[in-house]
Amino acid sequence: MSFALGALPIVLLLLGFPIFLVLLSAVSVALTFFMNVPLAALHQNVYGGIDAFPLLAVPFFIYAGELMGRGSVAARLGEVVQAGIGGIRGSLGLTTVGTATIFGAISGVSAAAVATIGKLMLAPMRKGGYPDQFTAGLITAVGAIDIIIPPSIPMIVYGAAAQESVPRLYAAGVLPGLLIAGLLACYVMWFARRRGIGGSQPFELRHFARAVVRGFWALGAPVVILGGIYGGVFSPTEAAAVACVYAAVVTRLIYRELSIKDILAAAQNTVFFTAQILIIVACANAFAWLLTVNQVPTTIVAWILSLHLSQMSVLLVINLLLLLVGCFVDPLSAILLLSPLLVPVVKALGVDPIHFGIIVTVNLAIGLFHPPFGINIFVAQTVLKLPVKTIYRGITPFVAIYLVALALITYVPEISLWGMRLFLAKS
Amino acid sequence: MDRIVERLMQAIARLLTGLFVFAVLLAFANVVARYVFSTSIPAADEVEIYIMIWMTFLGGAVVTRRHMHLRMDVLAAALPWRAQYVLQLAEQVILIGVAGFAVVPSAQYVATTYQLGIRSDGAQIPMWIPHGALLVGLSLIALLAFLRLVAIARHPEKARPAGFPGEGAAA
Repeated sequence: MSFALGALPIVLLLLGFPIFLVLLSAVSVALTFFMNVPLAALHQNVYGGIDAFPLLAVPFFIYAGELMGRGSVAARLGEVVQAGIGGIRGSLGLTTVGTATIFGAISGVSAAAVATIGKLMLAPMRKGGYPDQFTAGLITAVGAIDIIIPPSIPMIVYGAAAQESVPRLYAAGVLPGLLIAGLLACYVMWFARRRGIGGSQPFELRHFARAVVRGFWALGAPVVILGGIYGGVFSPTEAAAVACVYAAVVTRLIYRELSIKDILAAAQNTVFFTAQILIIVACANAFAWLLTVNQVPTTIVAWILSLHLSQMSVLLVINLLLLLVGCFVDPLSAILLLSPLLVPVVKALGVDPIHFGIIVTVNLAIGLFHPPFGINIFVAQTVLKLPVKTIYRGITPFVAIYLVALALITYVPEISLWGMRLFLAKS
Repeated sequence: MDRIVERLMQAIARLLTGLFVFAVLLAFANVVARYVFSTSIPAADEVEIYIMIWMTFLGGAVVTRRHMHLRMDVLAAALPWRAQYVLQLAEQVILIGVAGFAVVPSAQYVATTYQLGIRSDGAQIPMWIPHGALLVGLSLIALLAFLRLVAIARHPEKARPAGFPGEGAAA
């Protein structure tokens, strides 16, 4: 059985086979050669993996993000942030961080944020005197905030894999996301002071008011999504559907930027993206079932408990594992592959599974832009048209900042749990 | 043959896009119905979920055709071309075997739900319809893998190097 559950999936994964095929192969081999259960279990578990209403939020949020990303929503958000903080030293860098943070409250797809913010901020930052290396590093790194600030696709998938509440995960993600944005902002201001980079434009109420009016509907998106969820108006899935219609109306009828053809093209992209993700979710459910009936998580928990390690050491080892995995595997696949094994372990050690969901998300968010293979590096390279070497060098301080944030989020659970209690108490 | 398959894939993509837009509008209509008319569409949630299931498995076939499945191909990309070619042949063979294997219980399950006339609770949709998504999707995936196996066995130059992005990788 260890061949079907361990060796086979690891070998197929390393050989570069599609992840859904890796999981389905393991389940098929186990059922055929090592278990005596009806084959209908395969169909039931694969089907059951995606027969879940909360998972509908995945395609809906992807679609809302696709629509918003195709229009000028990010540009308008950037204008508002810039008009508000233009007088501060390092304002263009801060605008990049601020726009990514607000955009993160609309979209849950990191690469889309890097592409959108990259196109928007590269030229102004160059003009403002920021070195390309710094700009590339900042733009590549800010995208990771997108999957930490809700709505976050990885959190929905973690919620499904660990059977945890998505609204709770969303509420717990707000403060860690803001913490990272705050640390990035501090570094930007320090960098600007050291390099003598000033503000771009002094604050003017009239200018700010004009930017707010221009960006009114763009600013409304996070209010509708997060306000709807925490105000108890919608479930995350309903909020996602409302966000889709809101995004379509704003980009088509109010800003008049997208044609019906564009809206349908965004829908088609969403269909492909959904199929890529959910076919893994479906097969991972069958694989997780296989692990459970063979008592693999229980055995691992017993083994780890027998080592008498502290919670702190286990979390450190898990962080290192997730950072390593995040360098090679996309966040959603990593969550689906590892959650069935790791969640029982951390639960046994007394870690709140919601807090752990945030730890997992932050780790895998770092993997998105961590050299050498973070996907956002290549997205930034395509958009910014800069050598990978420049991006690698620029990223280094930002990786360090994220690691500091990760340590704080891991070892101060209140950063996640206090936010959860605060937001959910209001709903 | 290649043109027929491509047309079929385009038709599936259009069909799923239409269904997805319908699901979005249905979910939105359900929210509006609840807040404006103090009622709800009982069938809405089920219909949306079943559309998502079809998007996953039938969409999975289009994703297979377009080489867009998520994978960890960093190591495979570093292998010599000959080894990558062999791996691609092996991938198609395993895909045919595993998808074909999974089709058997799916077909039995669909047949049973059809014979028993099982319907969903809210929308009263015959349950062989959502369950049929696995049967149709996995059968198509196996068929596409077979066609690809034949194509790259006959014309090795058609094999894609590992790490080569599909026609729209997940962000």
